[in-house]
Amino acid sequence: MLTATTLVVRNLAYHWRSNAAVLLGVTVGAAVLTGALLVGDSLRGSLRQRVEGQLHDIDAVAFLPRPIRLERTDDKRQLTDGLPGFVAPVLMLPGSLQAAGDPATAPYLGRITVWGVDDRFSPTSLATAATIDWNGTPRHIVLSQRVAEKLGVSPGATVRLGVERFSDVPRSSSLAKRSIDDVTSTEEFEVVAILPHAAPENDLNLTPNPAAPLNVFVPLRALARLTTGQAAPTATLLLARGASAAELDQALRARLQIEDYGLKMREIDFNRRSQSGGYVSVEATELILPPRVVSAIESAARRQQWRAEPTVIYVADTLSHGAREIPYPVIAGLNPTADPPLGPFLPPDVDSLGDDDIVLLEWEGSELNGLPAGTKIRLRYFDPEVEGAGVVREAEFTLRGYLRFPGPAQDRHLVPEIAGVTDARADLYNWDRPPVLPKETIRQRVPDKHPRSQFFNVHKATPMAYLSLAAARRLFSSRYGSDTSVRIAPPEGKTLEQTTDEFRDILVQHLDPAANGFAFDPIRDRLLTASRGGNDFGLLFLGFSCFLIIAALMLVGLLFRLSLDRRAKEVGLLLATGYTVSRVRRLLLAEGLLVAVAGAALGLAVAIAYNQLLLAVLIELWPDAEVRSYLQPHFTVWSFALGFVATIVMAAIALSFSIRGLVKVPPPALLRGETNVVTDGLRGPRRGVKALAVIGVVTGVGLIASGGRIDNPDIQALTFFSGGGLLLIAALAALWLWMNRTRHRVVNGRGLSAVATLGYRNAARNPGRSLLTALMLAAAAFLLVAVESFRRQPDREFLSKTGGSGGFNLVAECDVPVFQSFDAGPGRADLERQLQRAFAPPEADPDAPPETPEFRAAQQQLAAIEEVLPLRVRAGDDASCANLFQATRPRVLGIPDAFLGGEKRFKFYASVATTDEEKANPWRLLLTYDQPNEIPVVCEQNTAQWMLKKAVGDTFIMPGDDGRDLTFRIVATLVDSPFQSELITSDSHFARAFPQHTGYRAFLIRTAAGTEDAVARLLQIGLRVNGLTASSTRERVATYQAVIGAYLSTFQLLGGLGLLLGVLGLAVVILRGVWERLGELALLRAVGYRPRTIQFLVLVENVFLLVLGLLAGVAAALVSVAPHVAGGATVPWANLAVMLGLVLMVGFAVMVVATAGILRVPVIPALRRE
Amino acid sequence: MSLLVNQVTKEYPTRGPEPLVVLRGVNLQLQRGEAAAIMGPSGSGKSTLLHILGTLDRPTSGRVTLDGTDPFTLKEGELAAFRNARIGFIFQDHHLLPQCSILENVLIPTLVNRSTQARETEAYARNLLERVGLGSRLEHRPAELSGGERQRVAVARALVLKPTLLLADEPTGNLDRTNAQAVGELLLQLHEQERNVLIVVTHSADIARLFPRRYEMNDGILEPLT
Repeated sequence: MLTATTLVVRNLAYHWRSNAAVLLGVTVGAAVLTGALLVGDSLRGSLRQRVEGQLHDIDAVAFLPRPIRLERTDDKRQLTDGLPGFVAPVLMLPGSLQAAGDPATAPYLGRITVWGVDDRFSPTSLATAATIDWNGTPRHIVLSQRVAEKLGVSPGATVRLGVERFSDVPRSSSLAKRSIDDVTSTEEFEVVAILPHAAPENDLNLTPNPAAPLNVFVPLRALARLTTGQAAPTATLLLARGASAAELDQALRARLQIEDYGLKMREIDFNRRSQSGGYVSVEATELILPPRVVSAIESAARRQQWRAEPTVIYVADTLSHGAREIPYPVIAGLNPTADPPLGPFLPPDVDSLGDDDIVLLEWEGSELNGLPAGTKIRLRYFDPEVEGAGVVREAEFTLRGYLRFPGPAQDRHLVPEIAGVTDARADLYNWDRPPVLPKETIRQRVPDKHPRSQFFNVHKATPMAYLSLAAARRLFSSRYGSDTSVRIAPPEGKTLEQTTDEFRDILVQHLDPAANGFAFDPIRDRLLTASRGGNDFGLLFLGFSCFLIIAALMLVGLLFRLSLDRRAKEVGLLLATGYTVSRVRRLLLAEGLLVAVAGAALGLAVAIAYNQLLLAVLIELWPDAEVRSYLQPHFTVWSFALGFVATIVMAAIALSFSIRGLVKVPPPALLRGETNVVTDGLRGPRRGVKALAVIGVVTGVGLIASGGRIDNPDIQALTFFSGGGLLLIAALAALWLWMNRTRHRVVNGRGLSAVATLGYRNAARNPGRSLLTALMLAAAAFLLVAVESFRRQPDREFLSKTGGSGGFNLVAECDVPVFQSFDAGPGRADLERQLQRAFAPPEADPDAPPETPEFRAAQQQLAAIEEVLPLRVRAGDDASCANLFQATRPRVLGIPDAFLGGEKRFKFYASVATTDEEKANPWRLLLTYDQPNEIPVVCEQNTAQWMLKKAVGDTFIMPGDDGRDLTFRIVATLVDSPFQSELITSDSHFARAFPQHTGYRAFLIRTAAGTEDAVARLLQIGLRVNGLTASSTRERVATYQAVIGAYLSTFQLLGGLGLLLGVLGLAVVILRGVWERLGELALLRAVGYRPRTIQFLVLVENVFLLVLGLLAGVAAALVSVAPHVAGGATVPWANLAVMLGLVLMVGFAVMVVATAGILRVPVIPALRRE
Repeated sequence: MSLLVNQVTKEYPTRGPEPLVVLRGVNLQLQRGEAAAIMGPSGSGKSTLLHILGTLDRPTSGRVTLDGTDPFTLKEGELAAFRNARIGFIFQDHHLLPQCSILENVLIPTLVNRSTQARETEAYARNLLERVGLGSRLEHRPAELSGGERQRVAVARALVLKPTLLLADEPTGNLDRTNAQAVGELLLQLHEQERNVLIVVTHSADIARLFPRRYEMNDGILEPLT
């Protein structure tokens, strides 16, 4: 029996061809919609999988502030003993690796991650791992597959490993050694194994950065020996799993001892000598006590009610009065009034010392002996922060008197222990701390029999002058602090040893582990959060697929309506036989929905393939091949469900619209086969549309014009695209008005031109449908052109000083910092020394290499270096568009203050500049911006907008080295710069924010044109132990732009697919038009039109829509990107022309095929409406 | 001698052994200025004859000539041009282009005619519309006209290129009696003015009575009515 259900089923079966077309349309819509969501799933899933792989089951990591000896001084157990879960100490360092052979030519790799591990974290996937003594000190190395492949070495080979040598003195302090040989350490290791391809250790990586890690594994103690000189187990990382970061932090706190904080305690015992007692000196292993540590020491002492005196010791250049001078005096800054055993340091009859006062030591042979009180004493000293040449400063003090031996002044232990300076074997001539205290200069100023030399031989580094603590702190403060010790007076009744033991325990309780860098980072959680991506790719792709989805659904609507049109008589019959309109509507909707459900289900399957296609395109276009290794399809049920439901809902809407139009046609008309309600073409909100057109133009132009003055990039982008969109709407409104005009020039004439005129007038036959077609085409063209206009390449002005490169044609980065810039002075000499060694024959003495012709040629080539801009680096997440992870802790660069105040360099996009000077050179903002607790930064516009989701003027917060949040304010953005993965601040701000990061790890270099490659090669040879890699700035920027290009191309692909659907929609419109106009077309045949002429007529009306749609879209897009173009972007006209030409050709071909049916229209039945 | 139809037959192949014969040796001869009405029951073959006369269909055998030209010897393009220049059609459905004004609808056949001048044909089209009573509504769209008015536009369109042969297939089929009568009279009036050959196929005896010559088609055979 026939029921409504069986009727629907029979209809579906009978009209299967047209239903199949509708089904395919829905399939496309579902595939695109779900596919876009799956792209998001895939990105997130791949990154998540990568995190899982790269973390090697690690849950938390403690990045230790300095290499920490694992062995505890109290119980001789290890730091990691007793920590919850599994904790492995690792000495991880950046380094470089070179295969055996000629140092100048042997294969070399920088950016190596050297993992010093013991058997707790040795590579488990290595079959031969058990044969390696990971707890010993053999010079064995295991290479990851990538490293072995890049270096071309196999097991048994020898490689030279270079890492940073740890310094007992901060490299940037005036007493530190900074030459390449001083800061690096190299040693040959035997390659004992190479990790298999599948080994997870190949991908071990603790940062959410896109670059594939270049891992090598060496025994922990062997690496400790290489970098510290001692083979004691030492770690820079604690890797943990099986316990939370909070549990680990709590347990770690109990295991820490003062040595871990870089502190040591010395017992200075006077008793045996002067019966004046003694004190305990708390000192830093790295010479300078950070201010917060000084506070902790003072606080601990206060709690015990013990006396504590912070002390500053500094080696000056000269103390003088007129021509009388003392070379290299050691200056002490302290509380001069302290009671014994910590003082006093006052001459007789002097009870206090002002901040401009000085007290001198009277010693035999001093040229400054015998001066009256009140004499002006000049102090010359080197600025406490030295990188490169030392800066000499001067200060003047008033002499208050003299101290004499014996007494508190006779205390060489005021000076903290510095190897080679204070120890028993110390020799003044071997201080050799260039450039502050070079050996040659010392010898010149202090000959053998010089009283200064004799004083040193007897009294070592005993201070020769005393200042107030405040004065010393003022002069000798650096980013690390100023105090070199805090002296603690033992309480009554306690020996020095008891005091030390007791204070050690108390002090450690006052030190804040987190603030000193002892905190476990829940790295798994953090990286998993970052793996959600810098951008929600699902939404991004969905956004760019919107048009495609809408086009597909329009197509569904058109196809369904076309199918219904063919069944108009059937619908008319149902209505005529008593079916209500709503019942017919429900019947048709049920039929359509069943088709939609099947189509959506099929679409889910196609979505999987579509997702794979998009990923393949993305991978193919992505400049970094590494992405291939982990970007894989991933799916979530949620995406499928959302895609399915959303498609059905949207299809239902499209179907409802289609049905609504048909059931409005009166049944008799339907029975005659008519499918449209005949209108007089005069109705419609003409006035409203006119207003829309005018408002669209005015508001659109206004928005675009004002967009150029808006700093917020999101709002700016929104302004441009809204403006463009309004212009598009205005253009389409104008088209609508034209189509609904009642007065036109009479179509008359002869031949094809007259037929063409009739054709374009025919476009107005069905204004709604024509508008829809034009809209689809215009929107697709708008998307294609707008997206294409954002495609960039380094422009012609790129290498100019105000271009994207700032005039620098090379960019170099190294793993081990370089402390002396190599453009001139000691840094250049150092580089040349390394080159001399590299180009020397193998048998030559490395300390005295000969000058070979190759070296001399290299020297000449180095002359091509015109400018070097050294940059400090605080390592962090790559914040460039090449990083798919979310960059929560971007890299920070410090740029020299002197550079910022000079001429304007690089190309700026926007800034918060207010003064003329700042506007002329926005770099100045880094010097002039002065807000407490804010660090002004400059970054690339794309980085700010897309990765950090910030605009100029916004702030960005991330933790500093001590775990406390730092606030960065974006004061300007750059465009086309090589700085796409970092924030840039001034040197001085950098030093304040990241005092522990010294030296330069990035360089921008300007060389004579054409010498880039030669200079890059020489720098890589000379600084290979620093792991330097150099590349052209153009290449680097082009790589970033290629990433943007990959996105743009993918989005254009979506736009292109949308356009394809638009063109298919046009074809459907043509077919439907032909169907509706069979009688009309037959009449034209009857009155003598040739079939080809009729085809031409129909083609013209649709080509008109195609061209009009494209032109409207292109024009609106060009207007909306005009400010962007005015900002320096170039429109790739050729690409656009090719693309639009292709669209026209494809559109035309589709129309020719669609109109081919006209040739076969049977005239007589059509005339009879049969 | 304007229209000569000689022994025209039309057969359609069928599933059976015998073809379906629609026209059986039709003969007809009409001079310029002559008008004829053809009547007959549905399926008798009158419309088929009209379509063959209008060159929209081909005879199975026999010959049709118009002013001595056998259109079925012409190539497709020439045939279209022939139809355009020499034959005017009026159908039961007016088949007007809704997007064009009535003047433009009348001008539609002229666009592909190369032997006339646009200005002249437009003037003539205006004249025709004037003559059919629509001179004041040149800019109107078909949707603004009544059924009878639309059919009058179709008449004007059929005459715009001054065809030798004017064919009307049930021109009043969709009209009420009054409008049908008016259109019939108009057709004859214009025919007399234009001196063409007019053949009207109709079921309406009232319309047929207006014509001096009347024929009846029965089972494919055309016979004059007395």
